[in-house]
Amino acid sequence: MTTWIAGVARGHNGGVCLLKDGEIVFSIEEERLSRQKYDGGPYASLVKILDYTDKIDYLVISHTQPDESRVEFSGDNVIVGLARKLRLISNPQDQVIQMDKWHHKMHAACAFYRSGFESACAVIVDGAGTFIPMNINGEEEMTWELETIFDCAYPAKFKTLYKHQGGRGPWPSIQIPEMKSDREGEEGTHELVLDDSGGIVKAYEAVTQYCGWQPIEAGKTMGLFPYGEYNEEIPEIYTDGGPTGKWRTTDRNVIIPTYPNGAVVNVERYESLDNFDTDMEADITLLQNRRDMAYAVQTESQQMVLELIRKAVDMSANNNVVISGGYGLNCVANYWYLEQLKDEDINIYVEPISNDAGTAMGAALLVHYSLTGDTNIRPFGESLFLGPKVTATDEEIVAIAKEYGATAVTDKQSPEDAVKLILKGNIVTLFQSQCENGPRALGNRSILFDPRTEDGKDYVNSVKHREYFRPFAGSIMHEYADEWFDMRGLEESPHMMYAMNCSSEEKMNMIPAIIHIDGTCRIQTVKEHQNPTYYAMIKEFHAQTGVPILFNTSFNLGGEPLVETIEDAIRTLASSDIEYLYIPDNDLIIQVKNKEKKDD
Amino acid sequence: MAQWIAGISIGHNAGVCLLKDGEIVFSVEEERLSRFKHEGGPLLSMMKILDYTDKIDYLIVAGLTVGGDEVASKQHTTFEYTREPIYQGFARRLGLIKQMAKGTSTSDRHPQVINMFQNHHAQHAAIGFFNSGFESAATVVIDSCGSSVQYGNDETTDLYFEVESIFDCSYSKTMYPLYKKMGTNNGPSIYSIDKGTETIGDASGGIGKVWDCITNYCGFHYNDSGKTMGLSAFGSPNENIPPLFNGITSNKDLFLNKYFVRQGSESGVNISKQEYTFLDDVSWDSELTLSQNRRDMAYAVQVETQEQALQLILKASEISGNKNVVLTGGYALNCVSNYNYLDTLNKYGINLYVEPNSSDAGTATGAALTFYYHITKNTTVRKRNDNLFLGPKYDYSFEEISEKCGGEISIVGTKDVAKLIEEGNIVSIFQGRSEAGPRALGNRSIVFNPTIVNGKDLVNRVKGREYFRPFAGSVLKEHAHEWFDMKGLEESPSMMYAVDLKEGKADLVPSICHIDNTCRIQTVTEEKNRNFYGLIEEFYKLTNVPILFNTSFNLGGEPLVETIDDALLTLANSEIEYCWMPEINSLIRLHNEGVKI
Repeated sequence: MTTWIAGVARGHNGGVCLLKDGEIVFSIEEERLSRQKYDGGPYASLVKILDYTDKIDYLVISHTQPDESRVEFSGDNVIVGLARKLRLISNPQDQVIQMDKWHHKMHAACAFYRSGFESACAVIVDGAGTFIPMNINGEEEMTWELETIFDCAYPAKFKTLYKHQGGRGPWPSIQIPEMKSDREGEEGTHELVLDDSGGIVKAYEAVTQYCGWQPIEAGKTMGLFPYGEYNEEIPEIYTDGGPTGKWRTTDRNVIIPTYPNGAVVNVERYESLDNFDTDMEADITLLQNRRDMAYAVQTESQQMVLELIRKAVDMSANNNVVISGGYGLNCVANYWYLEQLKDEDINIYVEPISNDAGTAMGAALLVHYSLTGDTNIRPFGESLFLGPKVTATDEEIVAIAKEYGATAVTDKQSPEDAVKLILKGNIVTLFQSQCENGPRALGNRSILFDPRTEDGKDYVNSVKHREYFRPFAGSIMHEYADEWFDMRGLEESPHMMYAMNCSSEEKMNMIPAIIHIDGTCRIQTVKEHQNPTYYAMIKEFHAQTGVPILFNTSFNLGGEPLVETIEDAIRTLASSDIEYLYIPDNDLIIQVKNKEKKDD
Repeated sequence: MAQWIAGISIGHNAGVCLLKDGEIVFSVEEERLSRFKHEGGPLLSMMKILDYTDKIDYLIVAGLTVGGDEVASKQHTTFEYTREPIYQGFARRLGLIKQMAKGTSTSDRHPQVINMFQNHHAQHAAIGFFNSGFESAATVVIDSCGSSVQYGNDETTDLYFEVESIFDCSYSKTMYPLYKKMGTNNGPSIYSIDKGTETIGDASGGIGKVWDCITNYCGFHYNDSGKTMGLSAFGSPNENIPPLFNGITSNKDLFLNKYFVRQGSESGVNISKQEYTFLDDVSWDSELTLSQNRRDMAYAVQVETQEQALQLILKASEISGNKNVVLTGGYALNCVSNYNYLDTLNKYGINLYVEPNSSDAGTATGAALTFYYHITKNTTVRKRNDNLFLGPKYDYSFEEISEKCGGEISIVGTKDVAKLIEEGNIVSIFQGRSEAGPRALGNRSIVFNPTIVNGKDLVNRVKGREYFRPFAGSVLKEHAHEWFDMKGLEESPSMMYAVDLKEGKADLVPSICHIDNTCRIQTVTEEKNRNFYGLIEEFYKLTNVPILFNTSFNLGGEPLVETIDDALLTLANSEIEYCWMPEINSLIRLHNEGVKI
């Protein structure tokens, strides 16, 4: 009998992951279907399950707090009610598993099962995980998971070793070396640190808001950081010891947490951070204190996580480390750890689906391994092309292209033909069936360009309507990675999780469009079997230019989610200066040339 | 460009009605799709919209809740990241409505979403009025509790709920309230006349609440109030039972009224009071419907509420000066009362239209139509809506059905089916689009031979229903007057009246004759349902009885079957052996044990 398990992440970056006997059938983020970035409540994703099966055995729901939504009359939670109405489940009592008490554990499960490690310790760092009510000085107070270390092993061991919880406070900080782990659903004890500071990520969120963005847009802060520099007028963000001096945490004088979402920089207290005389309508990323604050939080927070990694190895006596939770997406930090830990014999796996979407997969996998007791190690590097299959006939594509005013549809097109267009200085988009999981475009929903173009960065940023300071990624044939980049001992970087230095200045100067201001490039290494068409394109580009690298950025306009359907793709062309769409599944290239586009 | 408006009702009996340029494209109740009776939250119904259009212009949300829109939107929040109201969020995710504009907060109103939480009764009135074919009318709405309003001074405010309403309806004025009776749990009595609206309110129940209380006393769920109507014929006048009403207010000693009806809240008869202890006659876990007190209470509530409702209809005509009266809201489904009004109304020359889709499902249609007429200012009078076959369309072929039916399938003529019925077989009918409203009218029906003496008990047993529940009869329209005392009704196409059988006829159709010699009838014309008409006609040729026993195609406690899969499952799960599918001239036979008469 086949067992179907659907994992659901309810919150921001909501999504669904469907397992059939432990294999991922598909996994999708709601935003891709609903077209609203970071969308929560994965209703459209849940409906997608019906394309694969009429019934599921278990619905595993991951979030940070109990579901208070209700379907009228029946009183079910909306997710459960929808699954029941769709007849995916018939008996919510037995088929629904709520995982909202263990958000960090779901992150850890996603990372561990995909790491290829037999056993590992997991370091989970995110803004705020599960809501945990605690009795503090006789009062019922709300606290949140901030950072957690787990000891992980097959089939389904995730023992909490350490947890940092924070809340609004004020209350005195405490450290309990042997906290009973029964709330975690575990036997034994773990180390608990409880304070009223923000965690590592709250500081990052605060600076992100300070730079003018939503807390969830922390990636922009990472892009801005190399524009800043060390500034001694900026207070230290993390401080030794908090009130009792026993551990390092966010300084509440600098960063005021606003749980559960976000935090603010305490600008009133520090003159250097203030902006009384600045024009808030202007682009505040041009202000030096914003840039220096971004620099400070990047360099200080990565140091904090590094110490956590060391602590994890120490506590677990395990040199395999998996990293997840939102901070796992920090590709600058990920690369930096490699240098810092190079003499410590530590193996790091960084989970590419580190955002909350990964908790759907983690929850589903955890239930699968718990039920089956399977101890076979899942291989590392499972494909991220896990979206639902999106295919269309030539006729269907032509019909959509017509609707959006396409000027040409050419058939029998090869990767070489697509590369020809890139060599002529065009932006070419690449669309293949199953979309990428996680936030990075890896050649199935990518915008491609010639990395040698001098002003390529500004050009593509303006076409995508992105900010001037945001860097681009490069996809390189795996066999040339070491020649071009300092891989710091990594065999490959298939998921674009590291911002790397070039191997030489000469190489760096050859690909200006994908080199960030600090000389780094977010790198994806591509092996032929990982994506044959994409590999063939890079190979052809290499044959023509001697550069085995393509400029690669996500196929969407600024502020939008990655395109999901062929219609999304063609609509994106119609509403931007992007002219070409290559669909290798149909050997088609579609051209949409509109009036505003440069005719010359 | 066509204009698409989707109305949804979100509470119990939730559903969707989709309008294209003001015409109903389809209308369905969520329970039919989810297979869970009285289902709320019309998620599957909203998905059905995608079969007809990718985009809608407006989503009209009909609901009712405590304290107005603000509280409503909080109660119906997803709580997940975007914090939108659930149905707005679901419509957005389905792509039916646009994304929220950049920079708007989720507390801002979505420009395509209109919430109608404040005036539940007006939604009921709208479906009734716009379906009635009247140019103008007074509309009477009676249900157990509608939207709430706060009344009071600065220090204390209390919630008052809509109980009974009268609206002055026309295409230019739409629904103008002339009279509102409100009920409250704890607040003081109120009375006002303001801008032509008379408002009266106190801490007592109205017609609907009194009905709920006695339904509860008889051992049924408040949503199963139709059962009380069936039981009432078993009761008789009982002088120990006090009057249920004093004037227009319920007997406060006798009833426990709780307006905010949620799971677990009480709504029953006060049997702890000393003079009423006799009502506490049997243990709660016995068959309560066998107790004479319960039966007599059911009788009393039927007789007294129909008198209350009649007075409201007369009042409506009087204060509006209009001889056209529309009756809607849950109480309008009381086909015993509906018949009972007729003598009096005939005397006063009042034309009554009773809305068949009177449950809360109808408010989806009412809300959509209200909004349509609001924005188009269209004043063309709609013709009377006599088509209730409004469910979604299904395509199927003989090949498809024969592959999945799991039994014999044969090509048959109408005559063959009539013969099977005449021989005493239970035959289900599946054709076309499902019926809106609670009555099966020949597209999702179970039919039987009405002349069979113990047919009622047999079909009740096969369907898993209670012994006391009556069955309907579908009669060729041209023969209705021979068999039934129609009290001036020309027809009864929607099965909204329980009419008296004429002298000497009751014995001829024992299995559809209720214990009080009435029968819920549907008059059938060839024009409205050719196949069903043909079947009754063939049965008439065989038996000289132009009537078929007709009951909804479902088992007890289940919603009406919607899809062919539901129909086949019902056959597989019961002793019902046959399903006739006239559109493909086919008869499915599943080899069950077979029904023995």
